[in-house]
Amino acid sequence: MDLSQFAQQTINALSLGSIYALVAIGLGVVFSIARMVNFAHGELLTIAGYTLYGLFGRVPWPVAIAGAIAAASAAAVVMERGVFRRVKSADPVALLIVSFALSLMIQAVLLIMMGGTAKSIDYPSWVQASFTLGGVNVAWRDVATCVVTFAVLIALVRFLKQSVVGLALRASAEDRDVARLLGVDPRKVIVAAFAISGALAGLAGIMWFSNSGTVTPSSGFEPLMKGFIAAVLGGLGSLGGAVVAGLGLGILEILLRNVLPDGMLGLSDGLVFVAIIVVLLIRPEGLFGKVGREV
Amino acid sequence: MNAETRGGRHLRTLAGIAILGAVVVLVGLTYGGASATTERVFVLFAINLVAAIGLQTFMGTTGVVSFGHIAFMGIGAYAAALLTTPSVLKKSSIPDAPGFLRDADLSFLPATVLAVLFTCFVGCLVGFAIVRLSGTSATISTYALLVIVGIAIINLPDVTRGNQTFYGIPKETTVGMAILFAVAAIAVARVFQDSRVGLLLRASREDQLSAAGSGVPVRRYRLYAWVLSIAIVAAGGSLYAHYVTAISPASFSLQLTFVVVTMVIIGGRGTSGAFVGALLVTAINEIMRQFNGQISIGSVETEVGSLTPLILGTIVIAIMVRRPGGLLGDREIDDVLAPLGRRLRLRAGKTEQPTAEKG
Repeated sequence: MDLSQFAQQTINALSLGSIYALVAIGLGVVFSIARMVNFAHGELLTIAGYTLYGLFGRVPWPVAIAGAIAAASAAAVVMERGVFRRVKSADPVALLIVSFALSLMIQAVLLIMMGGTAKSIDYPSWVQASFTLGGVNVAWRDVATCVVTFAVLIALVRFLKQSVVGLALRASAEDRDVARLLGVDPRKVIVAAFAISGALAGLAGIMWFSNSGTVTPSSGFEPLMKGFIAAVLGGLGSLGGAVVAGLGLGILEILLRNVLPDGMLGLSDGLVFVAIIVVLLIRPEGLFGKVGREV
Repeated sequence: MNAETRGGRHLRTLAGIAILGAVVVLVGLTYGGASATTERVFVLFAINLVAAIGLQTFMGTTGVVSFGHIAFMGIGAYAAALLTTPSVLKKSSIPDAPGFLRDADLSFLPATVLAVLFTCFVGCLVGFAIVRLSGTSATISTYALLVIVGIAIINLPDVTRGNQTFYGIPKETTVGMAILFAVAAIAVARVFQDSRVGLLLRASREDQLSAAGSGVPVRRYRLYAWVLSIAIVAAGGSLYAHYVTAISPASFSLQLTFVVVTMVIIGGRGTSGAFVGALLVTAINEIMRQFNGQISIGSVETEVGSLTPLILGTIVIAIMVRRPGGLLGDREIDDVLAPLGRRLRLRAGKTEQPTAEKG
């Protein structure tokens, strides 16, 4: 592999890793407030994808993108108010299973409404376009993915650190009961967490589907799984951990895809999963997780 | 604990096994033998039951959600199928397989025993890693196992035919075999669950730190539960393979995982819970099959196959909202029936034998 190829693959890896990181952060925001892993998070990406499918070409693209993010965010809030809030058990396993069931239900509904064939999303042409920089071919979508992820991260950190809602969120994540005693309404905080998580999922969906350009009812599964893995590897609820693990996972995936000989390409996903088990064995609470917190 | 109550406990275990076993035998002999359709439904129920009880043996006692057990169902299915498929057929379907597999012509039960032993060996190797983890980390790792095993099966085409269907497995799963496997699974799982190890594990499920602090070797006991549950699931895989006679890596997917996990979750945390869950899910699947192709939503014609997850999902959520511990919770069938029996005995005592003991 020469240098320009290496640079190209690095950009690919960073772009893929950024999406994983966004999904992982979305899962982490909900986890740190509601103490649940939301398996239906992947369907939020799918919903964003279908919204884009419906809107691109009909309205200006910034409106379509805003619409997709809003749709995913609204869907996340509906999930919380409609389903998760009604599960009385605080058992994380119960909530995990409920979200798993919800994920399959949304897929079934999408299958009935939209059919099983892949719908191609009509992204604006500049998304697929690329430019050459010092012999390296760079796709605009990869640049956009990395830049937007970075910008969103900074905005999220500022929001959490400086706004009142952010303060309430951080306080509830630290200790829900004490936050409640100090006048933080736990229900409002949870809704805020789901809204943010949904918006992040919408953003991740827009970027994810720009790669293949098509969406099917089950296409949220792969980014969800990778994001979930990144979230656990980074330590559930750790923002920095999610970013590091998401990028790491993207780099590992692209690296294996390039390094493995052709006959072993099928094994690359398997090797990623072996690596995951090894990392968890060394640090069961994740790379940046708090020691001793069992979930 | 004195000898008397321990004896009572053993009696309870036996009663629980006898009740569930009797239901399986009765339903199998009457309903399962009635027609080709009922035979299929019963055998599918038995396969579901063995898989659910196997998974429950680990999940119910340790509290760790496993997405990986279906992988071992797959290993068990492939291993047994490799041994029973006629060698004449294997010479053409898998000509490059090692000789001892290609030329093997075992009958169903010995092949199943060998397949279970092999799967346990594999399970034991990875089990050392899995039992070190708890909670979400453990769940992720079991999911990773499912993916890894699936990829391994696809990438060993000399033995498994890779992505292609492995066909020609003799049809050995009869109603009788289904009954045998189901009753054996019920008995093994219940005895383990009520054993000293099972009780201590369930204590560690409630509070791992306290149990470990009281001297329970949590990891070692979890390994026991893991290997035993894998043995049961592998036997279920063999039962399945010798019923459908053709298997592929896609047979042991996340879809099946979800269905089996659903059975375990909606039923409750004991053997009887898995039984109720398997019964309910099999029934729902079958009812949905009966409606096949006859439902339209609005103007959209839809295959009812796609409605099944919708119905199953609704039921899972409804049960989780109403009864987070599953329908039976921690109770077993004998716990459910015991008060009823006491009441009956009491009533009988009042009318006929005034001196009969109470309760």
